[in-house]
Amino acid sequence: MKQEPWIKNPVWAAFLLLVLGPWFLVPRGFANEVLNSQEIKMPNSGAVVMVRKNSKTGTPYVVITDPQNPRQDLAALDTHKYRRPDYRMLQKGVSAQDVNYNGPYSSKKKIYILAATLATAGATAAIVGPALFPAAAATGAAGGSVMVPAAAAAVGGSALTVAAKKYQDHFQNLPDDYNRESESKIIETETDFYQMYVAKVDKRPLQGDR
Amino acid sequence: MRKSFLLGSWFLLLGSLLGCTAIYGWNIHAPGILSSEFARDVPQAQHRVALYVPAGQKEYLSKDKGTRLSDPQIYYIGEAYVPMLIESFQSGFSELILMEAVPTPAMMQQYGIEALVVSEIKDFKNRKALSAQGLDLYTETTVFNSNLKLMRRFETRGTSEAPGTFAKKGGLEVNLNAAIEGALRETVSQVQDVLK
Repeated sequence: MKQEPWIKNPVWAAFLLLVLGPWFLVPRGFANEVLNSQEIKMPNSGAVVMVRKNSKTGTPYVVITDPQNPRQDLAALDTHKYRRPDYRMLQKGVSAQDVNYNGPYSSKKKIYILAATLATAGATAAIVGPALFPAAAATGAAGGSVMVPAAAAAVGGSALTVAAKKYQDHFQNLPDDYNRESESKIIETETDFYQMYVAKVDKRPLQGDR
Repeated sequence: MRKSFLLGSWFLLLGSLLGCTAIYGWNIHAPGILSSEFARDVPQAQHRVALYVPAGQKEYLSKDKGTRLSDPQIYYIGEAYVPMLIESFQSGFSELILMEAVPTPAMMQQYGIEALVVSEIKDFKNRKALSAQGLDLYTETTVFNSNLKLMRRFETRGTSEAPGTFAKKGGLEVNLNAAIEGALRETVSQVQDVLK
Protein backbone atom coordinates (compact mmCIF):
# COMPACT_ATOMS: atom_id res chain seq x y z
CA MET A 1 0.00 0.00 0.00
CA LYS A 2 1.33 3.36 -1.00
CA GLN A 3 1.57 5.90 1.89
CA GLU A 4 2.01 9.67 1.89
CA PRO A 5 5.65 10.77 2.69
CA TRP A 6 4.70 12.61 5.90
CA ILE A 7 2.96 9.50 7.27
CA LYS A 8 6.01 7.38 6.45
CA ASN A 9 8.32 9.50 8.56
CA PRO A 10 7.10 9.74 12.22
CA VAL A 11 9.65 12.49 13.06
CA TRP A 12 8.34 14.69 10.29
CA ALA A 13 4.78 14.05 11.42
CA ALA A 14 5.55 14.99 15.02
CA PHE A 15 7.19 18.21 13.84
CA LEU A 16 4.15 19.24 11.85
CA LEU A 17 1.85 18.46 14.75
CA LEU A 18 3.84 20.38 17.37
CA VAL A 19 4.66 23.47 15.31
CA LEU A 20 1.64 23.99 13.14
CA GLY A 21 -0.96 22.66 15.60
CA PRO A 22 -0.80 25.56 18.10
CA TRP A 23 -0.80 28.05 15.25
CA PHE A 24 -4.26 26.84 14.21
CA LEU A 25 -5.48 26.70 17.81
CA VAL A 26 -4.50 30.26 18.79
CA PRO A 27 -7.11 32.86 17.78
CA ARG A 28 -6.04 35.35 15.14
CA GLY A 29 -4.71 38.68 16.57
CA PHE A 30 -3.95 37.25 20.01
CA ALA A 31 -0.23 38.15 19.92
CA ASN A 32 -0.92 41.71 18.89
CA GLU A 33 -3.43 42.16 21.68
CA VAL A 34 -0.84 41.10 24.27
CA LEU A 35 1.69 43.68 23.04
CA ASN A 36 -0.86 46.45 22.82
CA SER A 37 -2.18 45.80 26.30
CA GLN A 38 1.32 46.35 27.75
CA GLU A 39 1.57 49.69 26.04
CA ILE A 40 -1.87 50.75 27.20
CA LYS A 41 -1.11 49.87 30.82
CA MET A 42 1.75 52.42 31.03
CA PRO A 43 0.69 55.30 33.26
CA ASN A 44 0.55 58.78 31.88
CA SER A 45 3.12 60.82 33.86
CA GLY A 46 2.13 64.17 32.37
CA ALA A 47 5.78 64.83 31.54
CA VAL A 48 6.81 66.36 28.26
CA VAL A 49 9.87 65.30 26.30
CA MET A 50 11.80 68.05 24.59
CA VAL A 51 15.27 68.70 23.22
CA ARG A 52 17.47 71.45 24.58
CA LYS A 53 20.98 72.51 23.64
CA ASN A 54 23.85 72.77 26.07
CA SER A 55 24.20 76.51 26.67
CA LYS A 56 27.98 76.40 26.30
CA THR A 57 28.66 73.79 23.64
CA GLY A 58 25.43 73.72 21.64
CA THR A 59 25.27 69.92 21.90
CA PRO A 60 21.62 68.79 22.15
CA TYR A 61 20.23 66.61 24.94
CA VAL A 62 16.83 65.26 25.89
CA VAL A 63 14.86 66.91 28.68
CA ILE A 64 11.84 65.47 30.44
CA THR A 65 10.01 68.37 31.95
CA ASP A 66 6.83 68.98 33.85
CA PRO A 67 4.75 71.63 32.06
CA GLN A 68 2.93 72.42 35.31
CA ASN A 69 6.17 73.10 37.17
CA PRO A 70 8.95 74.02 34.70
CA ARG A 71 12.51 74.50 35.95
CA GLN A 72 13.37 78.04 34.91
CA ASP A 73 16.81 77.78 36.52
CA LEU A 74 17.88 74.98 34.19
CA ALA A 75 16.29 76.50 31.12
CA ALA A 76 18.19 79.77 31.50
CA LEU A 77 21.85 78.85 31.89
CA ASP A 78 24.73 81.14 31.03
CA THR A 79 25.05 81.29 27.24
CA HIS A 80 28.43 83.00 26.92
CA LYS A 81 30.52 81.04 24.46
CA TYR A 82 34.12 80.63 25.57
CA ARG A 83 36.96 78.58 24.22
CA ARG A 84 37.68 75.42 26.21
CA PRO A 85 40.11 76.29 29.00
CA ASP A 86 43.68 75.09 28.81
CA TYR A 87 44.87 74.39 32.33
CA ARG A 88 48.49 74.85 31.35
CA MET A 89 47.85 78.55 31.91
CA LEU A 90 47.80 77.84 35.65
CA GLN A 91 51.46 76.97 35.54
CA LYS A 92 53.90 79.56 36.66
CA GLY A 93 55.12 81.74 33.84
CA VAL A 94 52.29 80.92 31.43
CA SER A 95 49.85 83.72 30.75
CA ALA A 96 46.29 83.76 29.43
CA GLN A 97 47.56 85.00 26.07
CA ASP A 98 49.88 82.02 25.73
CA VAL A 99 46.90 79.66 25.60
CA ASN A 100 44.48 82.11 23.92
CA TYR A 101 42.21 82.32 26.95
CA ASN A 102 39.05 84.28 26.15
CA GLY A 103 36.98 83.49 29.25
CA PRO A 104 35.76 85.74 32.06
CA TYR A 105 38.15 87.45 34.43
CA SER A 106 38.17 89.70 37.45
CA SER A 107 40.81 92.33 37.92
CA LYS A 108 42.20 94.83 40.38
CA LYS A 109 41.02 97.65 38.15
CA LYS A 110 37.89 97.82 40.26
CA ILE A 111 40.02 99.19 43.04
CA TYR A 112 41.28 101.99 40.81
CA ILE A 113 37.72 102.77 39.74
CA LEU A 114 36.79 103.06 43.41
CA ALA A 115 39.72 105.36 44.09
CA ALA A 116 38.90 107.54 41.09
CA THR A 117 35.23 107.69 42.02
CA LEU A 118 35.95 108.69 45.58
CA ALA A 119 38.51 111.28 44.51
CA THR A 120 36.28 112.95 41.95
CA ALA A 121 32.82 112.58 43.41
CA GLY A 122 33.77 112.87 47.06
CA ALA A 123 31.09 112.34 49.61
CA THR A 124 28.25 112.53 47.08
CA ALA A 125 29.43 109.20 45.72
CA ALA A 126 28.36 107.63 48.95
CA ILE A 127 24.75 108.58 48.36
CA VAL A 128 24.55 107.23 44.84
CA GLY A 129 27.08 104.50 45.53
CA PRO A 130 24.92 101.44 45.88
CA ALA A 131 23.11 102.23 42.64
CA LEU A 132 26.05 103.50 40.63
CA PHE A 133 28.96 101.35 41.76
CA PRO A 134 27.80 97.93 40.53
CA ALA A 135 27.45 99.34 37.03
CA ALA A 136 30.90 100.90 37.26
CA ALA A 137 32.32 97.64 38.56
CA ALA A 138 30.78 95.67 35.73
CA THR A 139 32.17 98.12 33.17
CA GLY A 140 35.57 97.88 34.79
CA ALA A 141 35.57 94.10 34.73
CA ALA A 142 34.48 93.83 31.15
CA GLY A 143 36.36 96.67 29.52
CA GLY A 144 38.97 97.53 32.11
CA SER A 145 41.82 97.45 29.67
CA VAL A 146 40.67 100.84 28.38
CA MET A 147 42.38 102.35 31.39
CA VAL A 148 45.77 101.06 30.28
CA PRO A 149 47.69 103.71 28.32
CA ALA A 150 47.84 102.91 24.63
CA ALA A 151 51.65 102.98 24.50
CA ALA A 152 51.96 100.60 27.42
CA ALA A 153 49.45 98.27 25.81
CA ALA A 154 51.41 98.28 22.56
CA VAL A 155 54.67 97.50 24.36
CA GLY A 156 52.94 94.85 26.45
CA GLY A 157 51.42 93.31 23.34
CA SER A 158 54.75 92.83 21.59
CA ALA A 159 56.33 91.47 24.77
CA LEU A 160 53.51 88.97 25.10
CA THR A 161 53.95 87.85 21.52
CA VAL A 162 57.59 87.08 22.25
CA ALA A 163 56.64 85.33 25.49
CA ALA A 164 53.98 83.29 23.70
CA LYS A 165 56.50 82.08 21.16
CA LYS A 166 58.96 81.25 23.92
CA TYR A 167 56.42 79.09 25.72
CA GLN A 168 55.23 77.47 22.53
CA ASP A 169 58.77 76.21 22.14
CA HIS A 170 59.29 75.17 25.74
CA PHE A 171 55.84 74.13 27.00
CA GLN A 172 57.09 70.69 27.89
CA ASN A 173 59.90 71.96 30.11
CA LEU A 174 57.85 74.12 32.46
CA PRO A 175 58.34 73.68 36.20
CA ASP A 176 55.85 71.27 37.71
CA ASP A 177 54.33 73.71 40.20
CA TYR A 178 50.68 73.24 39.37
CA ASN A 179 48.66 70.58 41.12
CA ARG A 180 45.28 69.09 40.26
CA GLU A 181 43.72 66.29 42.23
CA SER A 182 40.40 64.53 42.37
CA GLU A 183 39.15 61.73 44.57
CA SER A 184 35.92 60.06 45.55
CA LYS A 185 34.72 57.87 48.37
CA ILE A 186 31.59 55.77 48.65
CA ILE A 187 29.12 56.64 51.41
CA GLU A 188 27.41 53.63 52.95
CA THR A 189 23.75 54.46 53.39
CA GLU A 190 20.24 53.14 52.92
CA THR A 191 17.87 55.50 51.21
CA ASP A 192 15.77 56.05 48.13
CA PHE A 193 15.05 58.99 45.90
CA TYR A 194 11.89 60.09 47.68
CA GLN A 195 13.45 60.13 51.12
CA MET A 196 16.32 62.24 49.88
CA TYR A 197 14.86 64.69 47.43
CA VAL A 198 11.10 64.78 47.68
CA ALA A 199 10.28 64.25 51.36
CA LYS A 200 12.97 66.53 52.74
CA VAL A 201 12.42 70.27 53.04
CA ASP A 202 14.19 72.30 50.36
CA LYS A 203 17.36 73.82 51.70
CA ARG A 204 18.58 77.20 50.60
CA PRO A 205 21.91 77.24 48.74
CA LEU A 206 24.81 76.93 51.09
CA GLN A 207 27.26 79.76 51.39
CA GLY A 208 30.72 79.49 52.76
CA ASP A 209 31.98 82.49 54.71
CA ARG A 210 35.20 83.07 56.47
CA MET B 1 20.16 121.37 62.64
CA ARG B 2 23.51 120.17 63.95
CA LYS B 3 21.97 116.86 65.04
CA SER B 4 20.56 116.22 61.58
CA PHE B 5 23.94 117.12 60.04
CA LEU B 6 25.68 114.52 62.25
CA LEU B 7 23.04 111.92 61.40
CA GLY B 8 23.50 112.68 57.70
CA SER B 9 27.27 112.28 58.04
CA TRP B 10 26.81 108.87 59.61
CA PHE B 11 24.61 107.81 56.74
CA LEU B 12 27.20 109.11 54.26
CA LEU B 13 29.93 107.09 55.98
CA LEU B 14 27.79 103.97 56.07
CA GLY B 15 26.84 104.43 52.43
CA SER B 16 30.44 104.86 51.36
CA LEU B 17 31.45 101.70 53.22
CA LEU B 18 28.66 99.74 51.54
CA GLY B 19 29.76 101.16 48.21
CA CYS B 20 33.34 100.06 48.91
CA THR B 21 32.22 96.54 49.64
CA ALA B 22 30.25 96.38 46.44
CA ILE B 23 33.06 97.58 44.22
CA TYR B 24 36.16 96.37 46.03
CA GLY B 25 36.83 92.69 45.65
CA TRP B 26 36.73 89.87 43.20
CA ASN B 27 33.71 88.39 41.46
CA ILE B 28 34.86 85.05 40.12
CA HIS B 29 32.84 83.50 37.28
CA ALA B 30 34.36 80.34 35.83
CA PRO B 31 34.10 79.74 32.07
CA GLY B 32 31.72 76.84 32.81
CA ILE B 33 32.98 74.56 30.06
CA LEU B 34 35.09 71.41 30.27
CA SER B 35 38.62 71.29 28.96
CA SER B 36 39.45 69.06 26.02
CA GLU B 37 41.27 66.76 28.46
CA PHE B 38 37.97 65.53 29.88
CA ALA B 39 36.69 63.81 26.74
CA ARG B 40 40.16 62.39 26.16
CA ASP B 41 40.58 60.96 29.67
CA VAL B 42 37.03 59.80 30.42
CA PRO B 43 35.82 57.32 27.78
CA GLN B 44 32.14 57.27 26.89
CA ALA B 45 30.00 54.44 28.30
CA GLN B 46 27.01 53.02 26.41
CA HIS B 47 24.21 53.66 28.89
CA ARG B 48 21.05 55.71 29.04
CA VAL B 49 21.17 57.71 32.23
CA ALA B 50 19.05 60.50 33.63
CA LEU B 51 20.39 63.45 35.56
CA TYR B 52 18.41 65.29 38.20
CA VAL B 53 19.73 68.63 39.45
CA PRO B 54 18.14 69.66 42.77
CA ALA B 55 16.85 73.21 43.00
CA GLY B 56 19.27 75.86 44.23
CA GLN B 57 22.43 74.35 42.71
CA LYS B 58 22.81 77.02 40.09
CA GLU B 59 22.71 79.75 42.74
CA TYR B 60 25.40 78.19 44.92
CA LEU B 61 28.15 80.68 45.71
CA SER B 62 30.91 81.04 48.23
CA LYS B 63 32.43 84.09 49.90
CA ASP B 64 35.32 82.13 51.37
CA LYS B 65 38.25 84.50 50.94
CA GLY B 66 40.85 82.14 52.34
CA THR B 67 42.44 84.35 54.94
CA ARG B 68 41.11 87.04 57.22
CA LEU B 69 43.09 89.80 55.55
CA SER B 70 42.30 88.88 51.94
CA ASP B 71 40.18 90.99 49.62
CA PRO B 72 36.49 90.07 49.49
CA GLN B 73 35.87 87.31 46.98
CA ILE B 74 32.68 85.80 45.62
CA TYR B 75 32.95 82.49 43.80
CA TYR B 76 29.93 81.84 41.59
CA ILE B 77 30.28 78.07 41.66
CA GLY B 78 26.77 76.90 40.81
CA GLU B 79 26.41 78.86 37.58
CA ALA B 80 29.46 77.03 36.18
CA TYR B 81 28.84 73.70 37.90
CA VAL B 82 25.40 73.03 36.38
CA PRO B 83 26.34 73.41 32.68
CA MET B 84 29.59 71.52 33.30
CA LEU B 85 27.68 68.73 35.03
CA ILE B 86 25.36 68.39 32.05
CA GLU B 87 28.29 68.49 29.64
CA SER B 88 30.26 65.90 31.60
CA PHE B 89 27.34 63.44 31.43
CA GLN B 90 26.83 64.20 27.75
CA SER B 91 30.47 63.33 27.23
CA GLY B 92 30.59 60.34 29.60
CA PHE B 93 27.42 58.53 28.48
CA SER B 94 25.95 57.73 25.10
CA GLU B 95 22.44 58.89 26.08
CA LEU B 96 21.67 61.59 28.63
CA ILE B 97 18.23 62.68 29.75
CA LEU B 98 17.94 65.71 31.97
CA MET B 99 15.08 65.21 34.40
CA GLU B 100 13.38 68.49 35.14
CA ALA B 101 10.22 66.73 36.25
CA VAL B 102 10.42 64.81 39.54
CA PRO B 103 11.09 61.26 38.34
CA THR B 104 8.93 58.25 39.20
CA PRO B 105 9.68 54.53 38.72
CA ALA B 106 6.93 54.42 36.07
CA MET B 107 8.60 57.26 34.19
CA MET B 108 12.01 55.56 34.42
CA GLN B 109 10.58 52.35 32.95
CA GLN B 110 8.52 54.15 30.35
CA TYR B 111 11.60 55.83 28.91
CA GLY B 112 13.93 52.86 29.46
CA ILE B 113 16.31 54.74 31.75
CA GLU B 114 18.88 52.57 33.51
CA ALA B 115 19.89 54.92 36.28
CA LEU B 116 19.07 58.26 37.80
CA VAL B 117 21.97 60.40 39.00
CA VAL B 118 21.50 63.24 41.49
CA SER B 119 24.50 65.47 42.08
CA GLU B 120 24.84 68.33 44.57
CA ILE B 121 27.54 70.73 45.67
CA LYS B 122 28.30 70.16 49.34
CA ASP B 123 31.19 72.43 50.22
CA PHE B 124 33.83 74.74 48.86
CA LYS B 125 37.16 75.71 50.37
CA ASN B 126 39.56 78.43 49.36
CA ARG B 127 43.08 77.73 50.63
CA LYS B 128 44.71 81.00 49.80
CA ALA B 129 48.35 81.51 50.64
CA LEU B 130 50.70 84.33 49.82
CA SER B 131 52.09 82.77 46.66
CA ALA B 132 49.44 80.24 45.67
CA GLN B 133 45.78 79.43 45.83
CA GLY B 134 44.14 76.04 46.28
CA LEU B 135 40.45 75.51 45.66
CA ASP B 136 38.56 72.41 46.84
CA LEU B 137 35.07 71.58 45.65
CA TYR B 138 33.15 68.83 47.42
CA THR B 139 30.10 67.25 45.82
CA GLU B 140 27.78 64.44 46.78
CA THR B 141 26.21 62.19 44.17
CA THR B 142 23.58 59.49 44.50
CA VAL B 143 22.81 56.88 41.86
CA PHE B 144 19.41 55.20 41.78
CA ASN B 145 18.21 52.28 39.65
CA SER B 146 15.09 52.31 37.49
CA ASN B 147 12.95 51.65 40.59
CA LEU B 148 14.59 54.67 42.24
CA LYS B 149 16.30 52.47 44.79
CA LEU B 150 19.81 53.32 45.88
CA MET B 151 22.70 51.89 43.88
CA ARG B 152 25.57 54.01 45.18
CA ARG B 153 26.17 57.22 47.03
CA PHE B 154 29.55 58.90 47.00
CA GLU B 155 31.40 62.09 47.74
CA THR B 156 33.93 63.64 45.41
CA ARG B 157 36.62 66.25 45.82
CA GLY B 158 38.09 68.28 43.00
CA THR B 159 41.18 70.31 43.81
CA SER B 160 43.15 72.79 41.79
CA GLU B 161 46.20 74.45 43.25
CA ALA B 162 48.24 77.00 41.34
CA PRO B 163 50.67 79.83 42.03
CA GLY B 164 50.03 83.43 41.06
CA THR B 165 46.37 83.10 40.18
CA PHE B 166 45.51 86.58 41.43
CA ALA B 167 48.19 88.18 39.29
CA LYS B 168 47.12 86.42 36.12
CA LYS B 169 44.23 87.40 33.87
CA GLY B 170 41.65 84.64 34.21
CA GLY B 171 43.80 82.79 36.77
CA LEU B 172 41.12 82.63 39.45
CA GLU B 173 38.41 81.70 36.99
CA VAL B 174 40.37 78.88 35.38
CA ASN B 175 41.49 77.61 38.80
CA LEU B 176 37.82 77.36 39.82
CA ASN B 177 36.95 75.68 36.52
CA ALA B 178 39.70 73.10 37.07
CA ALA B 179 38.45 72.30 40.59
CA ILE B 180 34.90 71.77 39.29
CA GLU B 181 36.17 69.60 36.44
CA GLY B 182 38.15 67.47 38.90
CA ALA B 183 35.04 66.74 40.93
CA LEU B 184 33.02 65.95 37.78
CA ARG B 185 35.70 63.63 36.47
CA GLU B 186 35.32 61.51 39.61
CA THR B 187 31.52 61.73 39.48
CA VAL B 188 31.26 60.38 35.93
CA SER B 189 33.86 57.67 36.60
CA GLN B 190 31.99 56.47 39.68
CA VAL B 191 28.64 56.34 37.85
CA GLN B 192 30.24 54.44 34.98
CA ASP B 193 31.64 52.00 37.53
CA VAL B 194 28.22 51.42 39.11
CA LEU B 195 26.64 50.63 35.74
CA LYS B 196 29.33 48.16 34.64
